[in-house]
This record gives sequence, C-alpha cells and structure tokens, in this order.
Amino acid sequence: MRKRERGQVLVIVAVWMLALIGSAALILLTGSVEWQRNQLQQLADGAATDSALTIGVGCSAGSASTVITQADNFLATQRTRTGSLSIGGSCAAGYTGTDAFAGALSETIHYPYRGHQQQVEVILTVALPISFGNYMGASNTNVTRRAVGQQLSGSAAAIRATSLSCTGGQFNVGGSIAASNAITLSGGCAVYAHDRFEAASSTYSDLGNVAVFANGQTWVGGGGSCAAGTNSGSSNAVCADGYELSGHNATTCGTSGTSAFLTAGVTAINANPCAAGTGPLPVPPVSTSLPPEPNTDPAGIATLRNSAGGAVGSACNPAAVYPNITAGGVVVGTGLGPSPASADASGFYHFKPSCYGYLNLGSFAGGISARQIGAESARQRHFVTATMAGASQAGTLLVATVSAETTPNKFAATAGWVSAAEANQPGEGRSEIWYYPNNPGGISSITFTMNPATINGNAQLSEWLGVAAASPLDQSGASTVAVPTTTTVIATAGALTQTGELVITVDGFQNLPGQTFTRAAGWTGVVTDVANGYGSEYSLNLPTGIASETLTSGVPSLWANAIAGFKPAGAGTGAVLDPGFYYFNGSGFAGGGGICLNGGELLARDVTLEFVNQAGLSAGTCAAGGGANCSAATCQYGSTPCSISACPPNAAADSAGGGYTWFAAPCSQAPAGDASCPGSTWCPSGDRACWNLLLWAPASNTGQIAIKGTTARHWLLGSLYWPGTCTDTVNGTSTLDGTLSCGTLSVSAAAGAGIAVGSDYGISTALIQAVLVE
Amino acid sequence: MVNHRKLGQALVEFALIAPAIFLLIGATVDLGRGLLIYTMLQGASRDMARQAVLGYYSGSNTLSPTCTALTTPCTLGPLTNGAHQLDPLGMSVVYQDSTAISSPPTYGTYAANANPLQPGTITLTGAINASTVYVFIYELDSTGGNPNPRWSCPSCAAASGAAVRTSGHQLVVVDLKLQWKPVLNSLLGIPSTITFDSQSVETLEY
Repeated sequence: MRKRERGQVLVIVAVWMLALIGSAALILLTGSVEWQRNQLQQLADGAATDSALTIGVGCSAGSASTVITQADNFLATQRTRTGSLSIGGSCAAGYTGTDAFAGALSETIHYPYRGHQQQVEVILTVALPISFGNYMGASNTNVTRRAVGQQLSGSAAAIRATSLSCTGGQFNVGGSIAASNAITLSGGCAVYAHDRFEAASSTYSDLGNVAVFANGQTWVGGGGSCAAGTNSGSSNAVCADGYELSGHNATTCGTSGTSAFLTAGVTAINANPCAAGTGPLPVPPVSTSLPPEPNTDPAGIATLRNSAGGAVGSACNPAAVYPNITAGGVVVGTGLGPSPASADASGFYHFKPSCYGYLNLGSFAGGISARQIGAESARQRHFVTATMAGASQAGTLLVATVSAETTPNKFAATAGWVSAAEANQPGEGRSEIWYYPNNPGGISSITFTMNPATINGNAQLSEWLGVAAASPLDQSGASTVAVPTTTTVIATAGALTQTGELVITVDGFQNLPGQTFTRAAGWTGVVTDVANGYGSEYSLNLPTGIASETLTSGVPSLWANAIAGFKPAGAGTGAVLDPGFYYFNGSGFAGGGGICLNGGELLARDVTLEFVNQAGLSAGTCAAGGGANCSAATCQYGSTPCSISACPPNAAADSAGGGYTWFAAPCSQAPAGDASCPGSTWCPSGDRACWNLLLWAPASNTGQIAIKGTTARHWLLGSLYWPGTCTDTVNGTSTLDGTLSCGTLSVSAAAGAGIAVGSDYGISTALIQAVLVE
Repeated sequence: MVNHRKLGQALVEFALIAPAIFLLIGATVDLGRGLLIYTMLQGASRDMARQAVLGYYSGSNTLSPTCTALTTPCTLGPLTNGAHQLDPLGMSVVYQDSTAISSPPTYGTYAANANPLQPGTITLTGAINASTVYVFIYELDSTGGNPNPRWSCPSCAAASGAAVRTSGHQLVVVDLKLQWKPVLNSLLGIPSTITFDSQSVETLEY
C-alpha cells in the first residue's frame, strides 16, 4: 500500500511538473524568439545604416566590397565571427556578401539593393534551438530580420523649396525636387528632374522624382511639353525621369510618358505611389533634418581670426559692429579679420575666416599691388645695377626704370627683360622703362649696360603683384621736349584697355640751379632725384583711355620722359576666402551687406559661410534684397573647374596652392579629374555643422541669395541652406553640385545650360546621414 | 481494513488538495500564457513603430507601402498588420481611423502629456472586448505644431490631410492595448480582466 501512495504523489507531481515545464518551455521559447527578433532587428538596422554611410559615388567591385565589408565588420563588433566574408556578384545584378557568426547567426548583405546605388540590404537569420524540441520533431526555429539602409545624399532631394518658380529656359536638376507649394512656371520655363544613372555599373543614385505637397500641381502648361531625358527641348512644364506626385490630401500624378518618364529600369526600383494606389506621400517643406548653425560649431569657431591673425576664440555676435577691412589700402568691407595688405601672384586678395559685416568686391582699387619697391641706385658708369631688398616671387612683374646721360644707344639688359618705352633728348638725357613678365623668381637686381662706356646713369627696380602673366604691356609712350619748359605731359600712345592697370613713368629733366620737380596729383612717387634729374611714379587707378601725367619743374628744362601701362591679371578684381568658417551679419552696410561681387570674382575652398540679419550673397551690389543684376563681364563665384574645361590661368600662380576652381564647402568631393578641392583642412570628418555645408542662413535672415544676370556665373560645390529667398540664374557653364534648400526659390536658365543643381558627389549636410527605407 | 482506511484517507486528502493543486497548475499555465501575450504585444508595437518611420511608408495605416508594387516587391504590409502577430494566440485586432485629426479612435481617450513632445496617456473606452488588440497610432510634432498629436483621419482630409506621417524628426507612437482575461477567471466566474499596454516610439527621419 505504501507503494500505491507513493504512486499517487508521483502522478500529481508528474502532472504538475509537466504543466510547469511546458509552460516554462513555451514562455522561454517565445520570449527567446521575441528577444532574438528584437536583437536581430537592431543588429540589422545598425549594420544597414552603418554600411550605408560608406556608400560613395558610383558602384564598382571595390566600392561594393567596402560597403559589404563595413556591414560585416559592424556585426563582428557585436557577435563573434565564425566564418569568413564571401562576396560575389556585379553592380548591375547586385553583390552579395555572406558570413557566419557565433550563435548560429548567418548574414546576407545585398549591395546595390535592387540596382539602387545608395541602398544596402542586410538580412540576419539565427537558428534558435527549441527546448525539448526533439520530442516534437523540430529542434530549432529560424528567426530572420532584415533592414534596408540608404545613404542620405541619395534620399535628400537636390532641391527643396517652400515655393519654387521657374521664369525662363529649361532648368535641369540632377536628382529629385520637393516643393511645398505648387511649382509655378512663366516665360515658357521648364523644370526637369533628371535621374542619376551610372551607365558603367547600371545603377541609379537618384531617381529624379518630383513631389509637391500642395494639391493640384499642373505638370504641363498650355502649349508646353517635355523632351524626355534631355537638357533642352522642354517648355512650360514640370518634367521628371521618375514619378510626379502632387497633393497631400488629393493626389494628382504626372502622366507617364508625357511628363513623367518612368523607364523600365527606374520603375523596377522606384516606388511610384500613383501606380501602387497607396495614397499620397508626405512631402516635406524645408526639413528640420537639415544642418545646424555653423556658428555653434567649435570646429568652425576655432578657425575665426582676429585682425592680428590670432584666434577670435568665441562665436560671432550677430549684433556686433566691426571696423573696416581694407585690401591694398582700400576699404572693401567690415570685419574682425586681418586686412590683406597685398594681392597674391594672381592678383587676388586673401581673406581669413572671421566675423564680417560685409565684403564688397566692387570696392577693390585694382588687382595690382606693389610687392616691393627698391631704392634708387647710386650713379654708375657704363653698367648700372638696381636692386630690391628681397628676391622676387615667381610670376610677378618686375619693372625697372633707368635715367642716364644722353646717348643714341639703347641700353641692354640681361635675358628675360623687355623694353617697354624709351626717350632720348640730347642735352638732357635718356630715359627707359624695362619689364620682366612672369619672372621665374629669385631675382633681386638688374644690371643695364650703357654705351658708350662713359655714360653715367641711375636705375630703380620694383616688383608688382596681380599683373597679367602673359603679354602684360598694354600701352606705352614717350615724349621729349627740346625747348626748355616748366610743364610737360607724358602720355601713352594708345588708350588703356582696362581699369586698374599699373601705369609707371620715368621722367628725365635737367638739374639746373634752383631746380624743383613736381609730379601730378594722384601719382605715387618712386624716385625723386632732382640732383640727377630723375623722377619716376606710378598709378593704379586710372580709367580706361589715354593715360597721361603732367610734370612740372621749377626751372625751365629739357625733358626725356617715358610711360608704360601694364594689364592686371584677370579681367577684374578678385578675392579668395581661405579655408574656414565665415560669418556675415551685414553691419557697416546700410540696408544689406553680406557678400556682393558687384563685378568681382570670389574664389573659395573649404569654407562654410553663415549669413544673419539682412546679410546676403549677391552677384550684384550689396543693396538690400540682393541688389541689381550682375552686369560686369566678370562676376563669378569660383572659376571654371578643371573637370569642366581648361584650368584657370591663376591656378599655377595662386600663392595658396593654386587651383581655386569650385567654390567649395569643406570635405567636398570634387568631380573626377579636378584636384583643386582636396578636402577640408579644418572640418572634422562627420561634423554636420560644416561637413559639405557651403551656405547657411537662419530663418530670421532677410537677405537673399541673388545670382542674377546673364553674365553671373557660379561653380558652387556644397550644400546650400537658405530659408529665405534665392534667385539662381544659370548660364551655359554655371552649376551647383550639391543640394539647394530655399524658402522661396526662383530659377531660370539660359539656352545650353546643363545640370544646374544636383550631383553625384555625396553632397549632404543633413543631421541624419543614412536612413532606413525598409 | 487498515489499508482501506488509509486508501480512503488518501483519497479524501487528495480530494481536499486537488482543487488547490489544479488551481496552481492552471495559474501557472495562465501566467505563462499572459507573459507570452504581453511579450508578443511588445514585439508587435516595436515592429509597427519601426515600419511607420520607414522611407517607403505610404502614409496610410491600412494600406500597403509603396514598395510593394516594385519588380522585386518589398515584404512590408499595411502598418496595422503588425498587430496580427497575436492572432495565433486567439487574439483579434481592432483599428479604426479617427473622425478628427486631433482625436483618437472612438474606442479610446487621449490625455496629453504635460510635455507636448512626449506621448500622452490612452485609456480604452466604450464596449471593450477581451482578447482584442486595440491599435492606437499617432504622430507627435517635434516642434509642438498644431494639431498635436495628429491622428489618421481620412474623413477630414480636406482640412488636414489624410496622411499622418510628416517627415522631419516627428515622433510616431504606436500604442497597443489588450484586455486579457485569464482562463481561470472564466472558470471561476471572475469578471475582472488585466489590461496589457505596450507603447513604442520611433522618430521619422526621412
């Protein structure tokens, strides 16, 4: 009977234990599955976004390996790798990477995903053992989670605007367009969103969609049409290689084949809300995911320089009033930064990152400035040598004047020197002007040979920046006065073709008892030697036309005078913003301020520019609202990039390293073949406040980006964030390789204009660098 | 006789202890099942919130994302499909769009958080069925915009838009509520239920 009693308890315990163990096993299994699902999803999300950050421009075996390896390495930081990464495939069909990790975790990575160059898929599967599963015929269960990450430059629209209006021509965009209000067209203007397809790898980096938040967008206006896939031929229409979608609550779509050209390739990877009938996409206005204020970024603030070249050490004050900034002695703006005393070898003034009120390039006195002016030599016989304190800089212009006793024989100089003008007056003397264009550097003296050997003379040598390297001599002239007079005029034979030329004279007069010498007002004296009857002066700000100067002596004298005019290096004035952060608050310029080209040329590399208050960026004047159109022959941001055409003539001579072509943001990737933008020297990698950010303005800014006028040109490389008003007039060469985000954006394009905005160069400054799309 | 008496004694003792034993066993199983449901409810809300912020999301809680029409379609279904993960456990799902952009569906009330950028408190209201997952999905504007929160309201689309997802750091909140009645309660005729609540929040970055 005791055995029976023991059996009863055993049965009870067995039933109880079965229930307990079964429940526990079920809970454990389900809990484990849920835990694993959650863990795997987090791993997949992390791996997908992490690897998406490494997606660059184009697709190749190397770039695919980089992306896939990054995802694999990310997982290796979370789990112990037990296998090895195996990669196979092609860009067109997609690469697949597989690997195994501890805990029966297997990994599959697909890149490019579905032919989308900027998407990567990560699939994780774990075989989860089932407790007591062998008794039920299944020892494990697979848990699979996946994620698709996309690099943001592919997910950020090339153009975002609250209001977008197109006023003329065909405005081509490389990438997608997102607008809040309906896009307005006038003057037969067409806006075309082109997909970005890399034929070499058969992959897309952007699908060229147009999304309008407002209802009722008209895609093709009266008489308008779209020419599929080309940069010309469309008019009065909104065109897209991808889909066209309008309406956040009443959806209208572009007509396939008429204004929306969804090719088979695009359709395969482009989720078209219209075709799917799944309802409207949310189309954002200017997104809050755009970059933060650079003036709060320590990396940017650290670049700010004071007038002595030291660190400012703190953020710029939007209410500050700044002292004048001069360039070559002329006031060109206001700011805390140092005033450039002279131009570089190419004639460009270099400004340092700092807090500014405004910079007005139209205020430049001229592109030419003196680098050094040597003293007059002693009187020497047969051979006269003029010297300068330092050796010359390569590329500059050397000018020498000689005043000697009269002789019919022209002086001789060493190789490389060219005679500009000469005058010989028997009874007075011989005067000559010589120059050495684009000198090789290292020259500090010049010796002239005067014949016959009994001739005595004096000479003087000077060095000039910003003079044209090739054929600098524009005009010259000479005059002799054979009848003593106290007043004479020396003038060029022809008219000066440019303003801002270096016009230099040499004056020979008699040393008579009581003699005096007076040069004309506005001329700067270089030599005043009454004892030897030798004068020389120059001017940098004469207008075009005949250049002349009136010379006066105290005692009537014979005269032997010469004059020469040398052209500046560029067709106009210019400035360079050296790498770093620039802040403009408009102070010192009534009603406007900021940066205005006003006929000038502004180059920059590795810069981020912030504009507050009423400050703007204008190709015209600094007047409030962006000023008038640029009307000068040269009015440009950046210069023709080497990747587009021949490098600019200033490239080799530029003292800061040369090659300022793209007006570029930090860390930007210049187009292939253009090495002028090697990357930032000050912006830490990944710093969203400066990374790829070229222009930034707060919503409170009342200034404008105003690139107006058919002669205004720009080569901007970076991201532009401007909540206010922007105007972009695009000619045949201008482009913005990056993203443009404006509150109110007005665009137009001249005939022959290519892609005006958008690129494949990884331009993105959004706070979020990669997003999950699946 | 002694043995029979002992047997009878054992039966009596077992009869006395059996209800308690079976109650304990039942409670153990019930508790396990409750934990299972709650765990799966959490997983469901997490999945739904994650899907709600994806780039291919269509803006509708009941329609499939746009990527389902691709040549290689994505595997995503309508957002509310996530709540059906509990179907194998005998649960059903209730989701209704709102009748006003600023109001929750009719089966719940919403009390805003003192901080308008944080999720509020939802309470089930009306005739609520047990073993039913009630789905609440809304969006919190990161800038405290108006209306805030935003609920899906197709009937008021003309005024506010049907889509509730707007990009730019908006928070999407998925709140799943489930009234669970343990089996023992049914057996014992106890009317009370336990309300499971799982809330997941994700940020829209596209």
